[in-house]
Amino acid sequence: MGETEPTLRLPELQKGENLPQLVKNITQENINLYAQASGDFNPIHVDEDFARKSPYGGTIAHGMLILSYLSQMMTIAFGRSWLSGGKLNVRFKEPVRSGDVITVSGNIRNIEQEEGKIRINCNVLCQNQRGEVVITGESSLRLPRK
Amino acid sequence: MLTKAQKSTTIRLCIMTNDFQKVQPDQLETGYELPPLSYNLDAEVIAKYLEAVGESSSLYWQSDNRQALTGLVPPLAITTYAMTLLLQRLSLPPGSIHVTQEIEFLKEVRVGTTITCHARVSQNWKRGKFHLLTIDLSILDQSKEPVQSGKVGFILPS
Repeated sequence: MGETEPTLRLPELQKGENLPQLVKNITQENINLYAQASGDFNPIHVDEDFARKSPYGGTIAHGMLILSYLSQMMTIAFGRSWLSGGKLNVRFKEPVRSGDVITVSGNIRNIEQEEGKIRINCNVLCQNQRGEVVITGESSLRLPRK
Repeated sequence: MLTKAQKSTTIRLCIMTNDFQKVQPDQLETGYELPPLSYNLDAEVIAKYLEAVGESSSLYWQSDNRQALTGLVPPLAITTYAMTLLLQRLSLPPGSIHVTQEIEFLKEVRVGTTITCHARVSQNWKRGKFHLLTIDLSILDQSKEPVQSGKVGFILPS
């Protein structure tokens, strides 16, 4: 990872094509670091004693942390275009816990022609190591027609 | 659990909003507009965010100096800080769950930009034990140009 150039390019894009998959290990250290960066110290994320007594039975990751991985996948796939033409529409289905391994994936659902633009619509998904869907939804990207 | 010392290492957003009073749930009727939330995306805040989410793209980090930022802000950082301030403003009861998020990125944003987030209750719907709260977000830069728009949904305990 790390390159600015997108891994998917417009002329070759096809319906059904997979987006570059990401795998992320979720640790309490990650969650704490995110709490410090975001300023969201809800005890359900960072206080193990509090969280143990909650319906979740332990700490859970911030939903926006997991969503950031989806945005990372879209950046790897489409590069800088994602920053000013991207769209995410997701549902948080299940909590993500410390120790989970999250796989972020997606594919191109269709490609639409708009006025002077092309819109790429994708299905996106985050699953844990048990195959449970933790985030599901759609992403799309508007690109200038070449 | 984070210690006080660890919490003290938190990067503090430069919050430009002056009157930071909490909004009580009974104020959250459909159409209610929260006071605008403003914050500055300085380099320290963005570097800390990138490290926390494990983002190493050279869109954000200079390829010849991995300690230096390119100046581009990851779009979800903008959403994240808007959400953090929104949640600090709302007095949502314990047990509330963030269930949906919709966001569109309209414009690239550079480090140093001052962001203002306008939030409006678009749905506050109760039926039996089910209570859904939806808030529309409109996020602008200091030139009042839209940089993001979206919607966030919560389920609240009844």
